Amino acid sequence: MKLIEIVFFFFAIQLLSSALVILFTRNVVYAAIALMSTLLGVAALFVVAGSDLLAVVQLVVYVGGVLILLLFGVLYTYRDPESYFEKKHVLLSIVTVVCIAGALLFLLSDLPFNYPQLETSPHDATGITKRTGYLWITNNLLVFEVVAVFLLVVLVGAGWIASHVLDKSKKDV
Amino acid sequence: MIPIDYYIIVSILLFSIGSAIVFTRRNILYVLMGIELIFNAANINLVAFGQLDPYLNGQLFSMLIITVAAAESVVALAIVIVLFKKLNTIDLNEITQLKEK
Amino acid sequence: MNGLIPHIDVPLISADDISVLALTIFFMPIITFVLLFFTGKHILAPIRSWLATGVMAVMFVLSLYLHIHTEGEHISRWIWFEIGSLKFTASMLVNNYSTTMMVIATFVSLMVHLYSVEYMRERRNHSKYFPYLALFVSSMLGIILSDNLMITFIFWELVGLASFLLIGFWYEKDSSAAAAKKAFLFNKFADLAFVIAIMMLFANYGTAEISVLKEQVSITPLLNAGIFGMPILIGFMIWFATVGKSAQFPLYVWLPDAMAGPTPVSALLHAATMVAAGVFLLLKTSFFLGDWVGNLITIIGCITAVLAALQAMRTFDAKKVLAFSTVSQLGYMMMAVGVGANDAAFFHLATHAFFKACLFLSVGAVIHSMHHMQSHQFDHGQYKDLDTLDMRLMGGFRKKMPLTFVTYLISYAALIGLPFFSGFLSKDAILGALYDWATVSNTWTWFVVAAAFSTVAITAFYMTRQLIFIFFGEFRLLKTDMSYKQYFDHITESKWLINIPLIALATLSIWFFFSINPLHAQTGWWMKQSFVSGEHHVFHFFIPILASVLSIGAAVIAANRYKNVTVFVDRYVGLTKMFAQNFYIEKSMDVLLIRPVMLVAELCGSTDRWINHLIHGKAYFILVLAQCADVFDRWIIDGSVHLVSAIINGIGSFFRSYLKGNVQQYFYFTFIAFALILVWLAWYL
Repeated sequence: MKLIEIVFFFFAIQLLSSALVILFTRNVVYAAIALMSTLLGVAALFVVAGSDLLAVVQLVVYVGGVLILLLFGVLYTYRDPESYFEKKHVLLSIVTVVCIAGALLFLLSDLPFNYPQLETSPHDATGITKRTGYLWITNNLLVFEVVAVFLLVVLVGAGWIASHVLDKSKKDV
Repeated sequence: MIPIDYYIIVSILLFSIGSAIVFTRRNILYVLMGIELIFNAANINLVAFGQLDPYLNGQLFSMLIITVAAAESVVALAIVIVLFKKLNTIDLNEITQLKEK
Repeated sequence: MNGLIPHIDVPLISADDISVLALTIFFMPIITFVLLFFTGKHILAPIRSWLATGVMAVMFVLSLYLHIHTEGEHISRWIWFEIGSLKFTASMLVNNYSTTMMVIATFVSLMVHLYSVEYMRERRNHSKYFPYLALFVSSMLGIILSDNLMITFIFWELVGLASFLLIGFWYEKDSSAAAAKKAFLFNKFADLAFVIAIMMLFANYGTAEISVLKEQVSITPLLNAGIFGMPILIGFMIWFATVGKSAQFPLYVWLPDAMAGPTPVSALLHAATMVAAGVFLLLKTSFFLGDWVGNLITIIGCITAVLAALQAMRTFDAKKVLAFSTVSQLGYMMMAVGVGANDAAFFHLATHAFFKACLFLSVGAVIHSMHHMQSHQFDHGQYKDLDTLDMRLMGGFRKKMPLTFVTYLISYAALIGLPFFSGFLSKDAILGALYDWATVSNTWTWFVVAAAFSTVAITAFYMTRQLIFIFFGEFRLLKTDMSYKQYFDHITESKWLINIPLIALATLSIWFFFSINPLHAQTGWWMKQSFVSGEHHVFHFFIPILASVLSIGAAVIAANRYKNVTVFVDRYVGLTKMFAQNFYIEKSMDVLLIRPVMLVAELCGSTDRWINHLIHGKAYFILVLAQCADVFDRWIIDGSVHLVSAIINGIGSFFRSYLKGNVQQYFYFTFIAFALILVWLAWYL
């Protein structure tokens, strides 16, 4: 077993166990922290897969943005200590996980994947970051711009929804 | 290189755990986390296959997914806030406004 | 356009000094009218009255100046408006004829104004009275001066409007409003003929300029035109227009009713403005009157004169007697116009203006004092409905109001044609003209002459009757109601403002203002100066003698008959009724004109109703058809569509009943569906 495989398994187990924590914990804050752990594990897997730029993006966007947002949500929707906790459905959860995973594995085990078994990543030499940036602004420029506009729309829209409703609730009071 | 089968298995497991969270948990924030997990499972797959592609379509696409996921969570949280303001709850069992009266 | 209207070269002539002066006089009352009409209520009544009267005095002086300085004809003509290549002209003619008429009109108006200052002093609606008078006078001056029949028509209608306003001046009284309406409608009916005449003029000559038309008609004599030739028909139409204004049979019935207006207005109406306008217009356009139209005018004038005089014999309303006498005298004037004695007609118009105005104003003074009695009694807390116009209630005013009596007597003598008075001269001129005409015409014309002479007698009869009723005997109102005694004792002569016009007008009814020779006017300065084309009639010595004998005889008979009568009972009730009904003229108009028109209208109405029924029937048929189509549409077509949608709706609600609105439930279903698709894919792949 090579070092890289050890690293891979370590992070795979780390992220899956963190995901299971989310599934089973009763505390939302714990769940959020476990989510952070999961996302970090995924970022590590990206690095293992040779996509270091994507790992950085994962860290910046997910851990730095989405997670913070979620935590804000958690804090904002605080009603009383009881609301952080909820009834668990341990058995139901396990059954669901096993069923879905089993079904997918069963389905995919039959499929023949014809991909080359390579020893090293083909992009190690050129540097994946440079290549990605080059591809974004050449082949996929339109998509890049559309996503940019889309993000702007979402930003404004989300702000409008929240502020509008807040103003309305103020008026109702 | 890690064989792609491993990635697939990890992503299947992550996907099933995320799905289980979406299905079983009642708190709307948990459901959002589960959705994030599902997104990440998809991303792992894309990256795993994309490392063999000279045009890096997998990587680029997963980058898009991350962006869209961020946007999705922003809108979702805005909706959560609105719901909480209106109904004073984030329990999905109590949010049944979609049912016609 | 040019093909439709014949083109005649109408030269434009710029106004000279005389025309400008005439225009100035014409515009003065218009300015008065505008000024007083719009500021009327804001200035004091005396200022209002004296302003109007002063302007009228200035106008009279200027008119006199104009008359003295006018020699020959002064035409001025300018473009009124243009339509394409068509030029419509407006024009003004100043000659002896029109200036004489201006002097008469302004003088009588001045007298009426002076009289009105006192007479209308405390009457209702005072602020509108003088503007209306100014409008009346200015319209009359417009008719006198204009040389274009279209312009004349405008002022013709304005005279009608002003008379409508003044006759209905006390419009609160129903009789007043009705009389105004009647006068207006009768005049409008006749004015229709004027419009037709103007249309005919434009169709034949392309212009309405009287001077130009005169030349045209003289180029193509009337005799060549045939019996119903265009110029003769135009003459007929113009005459018919004057039938309304100058109150000829059968349209004269509006004039007696027009007495509902204030008495000074009646004087103005009868003397110088309204009724004179018709005769004056006919005199102006007399070159159109040819062939049978002249005879028709004479016959109708004769009928008018006789009928009105007969009616005057049985009327007890003081003002109506005078109104009928006016109608009768207008008949004389028309007779004179018909036989071609234009100067005689105009002479009679002039003399009649003075003595008739004087008569009206004298009677008005008496009525004024009667009115005062009534209002005095009203002031003392009693109100009795008193007909102040009824001659049967008057009497004995000779001693109370001697000056009024004298002026009345003078103008009375002028009217019945006693020697040494103006009426004698003018009436003899007309009678002489009629006699000349009859000697050269058919035998039937002698009936006209006979009727004219008998009318002289009838005139003398009814005027004497009125004289005795009003001024002689004793005050008969006291017989029915002694409470008027104290007021009657206090009646004195009127104020000087009323007396001055009376004296002035009575003086002008004496012969020497018109002719030095008291028995024959032809040699007088009036006939020589006033008329450009005065033709001299042969003087028949027996005519004035016969007329005088007739009038004096009739006056004596009337005096004897009414001298000692104290109570008036109608002995010939049927006759009185016939007179009161204006010889059933209105009734016969109703039967002959209004009923048939109404019948035709009714017929048209019922035909229309039947057509309506048919249309409604068709509409109902279509409505029923539409109802059937509606039922089919609603139940068969809509029903099938609704059935389909109801089935789909039922299926939808069946499945919807299993949903609880929980978001996660939707996840389940989505996921199960996705899994099924995967299974299906796996099955086939």
